[in-house]
Amino acid sequence: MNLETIALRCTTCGAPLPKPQPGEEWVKCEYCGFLNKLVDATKYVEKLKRELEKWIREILPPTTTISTVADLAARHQIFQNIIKPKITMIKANVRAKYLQYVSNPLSPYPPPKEPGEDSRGYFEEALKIQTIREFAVSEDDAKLVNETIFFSNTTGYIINALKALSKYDIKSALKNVEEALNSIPSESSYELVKLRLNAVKTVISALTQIYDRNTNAAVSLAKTSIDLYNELMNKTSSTILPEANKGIVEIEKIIAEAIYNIADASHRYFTAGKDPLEIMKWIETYMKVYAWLRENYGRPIQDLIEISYNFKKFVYGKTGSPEISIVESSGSIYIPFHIIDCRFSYTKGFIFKKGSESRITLLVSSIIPYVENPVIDVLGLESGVPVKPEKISEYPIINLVNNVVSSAKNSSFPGDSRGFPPFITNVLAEKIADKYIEKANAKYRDKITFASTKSTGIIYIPFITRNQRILNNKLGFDLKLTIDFNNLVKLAL
Amino acid sequence: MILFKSDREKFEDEIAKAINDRNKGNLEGAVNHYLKAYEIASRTTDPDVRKRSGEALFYALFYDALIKKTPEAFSKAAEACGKLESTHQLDIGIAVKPAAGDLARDLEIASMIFSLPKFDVDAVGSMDQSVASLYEKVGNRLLMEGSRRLIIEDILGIHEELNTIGLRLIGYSKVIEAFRLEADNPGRAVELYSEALSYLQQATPEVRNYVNSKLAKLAKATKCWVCHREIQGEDVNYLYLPASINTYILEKYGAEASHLISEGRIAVCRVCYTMVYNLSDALARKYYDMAIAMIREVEARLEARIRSLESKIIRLESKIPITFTK
Repeated sequence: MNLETIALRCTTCGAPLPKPQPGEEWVKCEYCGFLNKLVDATKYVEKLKRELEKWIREILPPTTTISTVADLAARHQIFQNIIKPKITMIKANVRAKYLQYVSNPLSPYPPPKEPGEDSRGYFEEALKIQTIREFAVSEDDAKLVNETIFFSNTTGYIINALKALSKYDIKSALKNVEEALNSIPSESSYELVKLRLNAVKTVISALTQIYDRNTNAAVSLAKTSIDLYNELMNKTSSTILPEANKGIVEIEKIIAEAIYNIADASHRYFTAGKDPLEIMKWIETYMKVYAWLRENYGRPIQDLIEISYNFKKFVYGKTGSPEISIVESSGSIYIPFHIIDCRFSYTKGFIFKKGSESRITLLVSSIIPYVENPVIDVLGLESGVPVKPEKISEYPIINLVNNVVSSAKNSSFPGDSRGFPPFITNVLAEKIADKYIEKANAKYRDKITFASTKSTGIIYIPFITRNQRILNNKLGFDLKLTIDFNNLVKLAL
Repeated sequence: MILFKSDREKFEDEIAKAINDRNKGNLEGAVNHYLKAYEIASRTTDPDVRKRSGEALFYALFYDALIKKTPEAFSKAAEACGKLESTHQLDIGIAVKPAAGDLARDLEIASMIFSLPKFDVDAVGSMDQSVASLYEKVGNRLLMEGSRRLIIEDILGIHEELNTIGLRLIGYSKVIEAFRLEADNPGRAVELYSEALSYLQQATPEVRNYVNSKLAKLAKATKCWVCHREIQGEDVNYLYLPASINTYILEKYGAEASHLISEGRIAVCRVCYTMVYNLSDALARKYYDMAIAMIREVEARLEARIRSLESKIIRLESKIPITFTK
């Protein structure tokens, strides 16, 4: 019970602080980033020691607190009768918390919600148990003590990591995940947890490399992380472990794949002589849009793969690769549109009703939620009397859309033009097209009996800013914005 | 002048009527016409029409399944679809024309999905192991389909990736298993609930909140204020009872075990609680019975007294003549 050896601790998160350099007054916590005043950290550790002494006095017989009990049998008895019941209870509580945290993705995107509790209590709990470690004489008792320390420390580091990720503090997150990984016992029962945390560490390392502008290393690490998740997927299919099952591994793997696309895009951007931090800034800004889409449309995490893939293609298009489909026209800001093939059946006639069907192509703007009407109004719903379903083929704007779609060519963005990467996925674009058809159906007095939509690709159309709230182009399309263009342009590259 | 239509013409007529009805949204009518077309194709000698009988039957069963939305109906449609040439393209009114082989597979999946009971957090207690096994079986089958979506997603209104649905179904099965273990093995139930949480990443907030609150309560371990035994699982194996807790008690005993005192209430294990409850119930019953017996006794005494007073009145009445005046 040598309390003097307890190192300085962070007053905010409770994690150990690095040894202060002689003459320094401040020590920065590597785990939560808090700058501790040396005096405060010393005071905190002194207070902690006093609390530990009190705790030990409360649970142990008076003689044991003042002298080292050499007798193994006596130590075993004390552990069995006094300490074990307490530790068993502590272990049940911290293990449950640990399980609760590891049942959620430990991934940077989308940024996790900040945990509603501090890590300090968990580190203090681990410290408490450490002080009575010498009483755990038998193998079983030592295992109980070690596991309780592991669950407490790991929970503490995970809380810190989640807090850091919620603020895009990737480096602190990495430090905590590394430490959590180091605290895992070497027994085979922890192999999968270790593998999972290693995969998490590799994903976060990939991001730190992008922030450090080592994009080549980032691509390589992101690729390794996917391999690790594939290995984990194979191993989890035959074992049942709450903290490493296929449910959570699948989600983290999706995020790893998205990060691979981001790393690839960053590398491409960097090799084209641009700053990869612009990519990371875009991702951080976009995550707010993504959170909105998830909340309002209930979109699954899988969307991140398609979004990051489209983003990657956009970046390739920005750097001279003919990876994107562009409509030639004048304009300096490129807006992505989803091409939606829509087939719908409807009734016609008054007395003798007949069933018929039609096909139209819809264009859905991908910069939702920042456009008022994301679907180009081919049926004239916004402008008075809508075109009748049976007359659709004669309506000029439908032909215009068809011509625009067929004129798009695989190309790259010209010169210094700017554009928006697609914010939404094809499925969401299809849903938005469905809503448009529903709206049309209300105007047609429920004549449409069934509609089906299928996204067939993305095209970029150049626009010019008429004013802060309206974009238009020579093709005749107008887009009304829901925010000022000056704010929206933060999401352009 | 042609007086009678050929089988081919009759067949094409019925198909046209079926499509007309389908487009009008009259699926029953479409089923009828497809069945008639099937009958014509089945008995005709025209080989070109005859070989289309299977397709007509499939359309009839497909639209019938869309009306009934039962696992059996989807299963029949899948079977009929599976008998067609797997590359044959079918027109079911959606934006793309799916191949029969792919559609048959989707219909089998639809049959499985429609065989599942609706998962409701309020009904978890009434779901048994067989329901959990069914959720797990279908969940694992859907996981094998990967991240693709159903071809008939627009028709069924199921737009999620199949592996997303699969993971959620496995999560439901874990919730049901965990619920059944709460009292007997809270430690294992905690494991199962946290496993469920991993699978339920894409579930509704209602389901996730349910599992989170179960986990939070079940995970709590403390000791009983009365018997001092360690106990795990709030509301299952122990509960909080109101007591008078002052600063002295809080400081002296509050740190004895985590969760021992919560908001002025003390943790009491299920055994001590039921013991106190049953004892107080028995005591209350005893005093209630005693009180009732005493009341009955008083009642009987009063009855006797009333009766004796009544007889006295009658006797007095017979001695005093009473005259009535108008």
